[in-house]
Amino acid sequence: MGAAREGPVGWRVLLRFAAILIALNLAYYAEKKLGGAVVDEPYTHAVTWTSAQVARAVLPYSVQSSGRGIVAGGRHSLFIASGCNGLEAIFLMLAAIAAYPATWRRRLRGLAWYLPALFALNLVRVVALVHVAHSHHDLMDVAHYQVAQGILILFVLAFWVHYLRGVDG
Amino acid sequence: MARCWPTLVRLLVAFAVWSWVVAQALPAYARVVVPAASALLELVRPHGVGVELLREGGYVAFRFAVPGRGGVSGQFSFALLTYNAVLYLTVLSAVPGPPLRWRLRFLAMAAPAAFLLHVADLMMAVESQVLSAVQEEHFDFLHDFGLWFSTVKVYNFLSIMAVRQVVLLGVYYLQWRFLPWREVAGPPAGTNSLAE
Repeated sequence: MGAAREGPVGWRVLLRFAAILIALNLAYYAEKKLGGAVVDEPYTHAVTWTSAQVARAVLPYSVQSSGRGIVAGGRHSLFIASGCNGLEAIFLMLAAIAAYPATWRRRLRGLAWYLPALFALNLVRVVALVHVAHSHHDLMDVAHYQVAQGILILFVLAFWVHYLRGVDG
Repeated sequence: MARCWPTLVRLLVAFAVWSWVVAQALPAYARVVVPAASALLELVRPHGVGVELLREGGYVAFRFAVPGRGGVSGQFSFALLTYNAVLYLTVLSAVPGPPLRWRLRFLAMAAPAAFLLHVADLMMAVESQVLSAVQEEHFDFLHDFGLWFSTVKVYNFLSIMAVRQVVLLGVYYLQWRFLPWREVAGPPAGTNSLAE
């Protein structure tokens, strides 16, 4: 089987990962149910506002934001829902790094690199969706429901593999 | 860091290719998943409600009638339900190590799991809509807690936030780690690319 050769990513790490991921999401769910004033609303508004600023800088048409909504070219609007604000990727990264055995210094250094990178990548994702909504509306469903959903998860996977190489030397 | 770039580029290229392929194949796949979920819902008749499921473009439309409330309808994006297949196919094809024959075996083993997951996920999404209509009072969970109602709502939230993303990647990891592809193939260069 060769399982023993594969290093310490074993059942214990997988179970710890699942437990941390579920705990983070349940905490987020409860926070949303209680009004979302601490995490959900401020974080989603921050993503919306920052994405709109970036979009305004790089896209050749007017972009406005209000609350969770972004309007491009005065017509095409995008609503940043709770499952679209990038927190799901942040939680995956947090759980993956916290679950794997490493010193806390190493974990914190990993989080200090990867979480801002994921936030930035999410901004790129939202800006790209704003552009698709404005200029390639026929591709919006594929771009939104398929590509944009998976791309951040792919980066989480790549960052985690990169982190493991650093931890295991 | 330098060793990670080729893996990241391979993952991104594979993701782009599989996103296109899956987008083409989704209507055919929906013709299998939606009738299967529809037949099971007809069998189960959640809370005595007959639910009609229909394919409408890239969406799955649902309709049902609740006594005293009338008709309820809505739709789910089928791509949103199944995008994890793209993630699985991406890692299956882009992570170096297993020979082609073993990758095909991985795929053959994962396909039924993916199908069952997609059918179950669709049924749970419908169940959540039915519960919203027939047990509306449980939304006030502090005063009128419903165990099944809360379980379904929490499951759907977890499904959107985490389950869809990690389940098929987890299936790949288990296949990669526990199936004996190394014994047959020998240890080719790059087999350590997942998590060593």
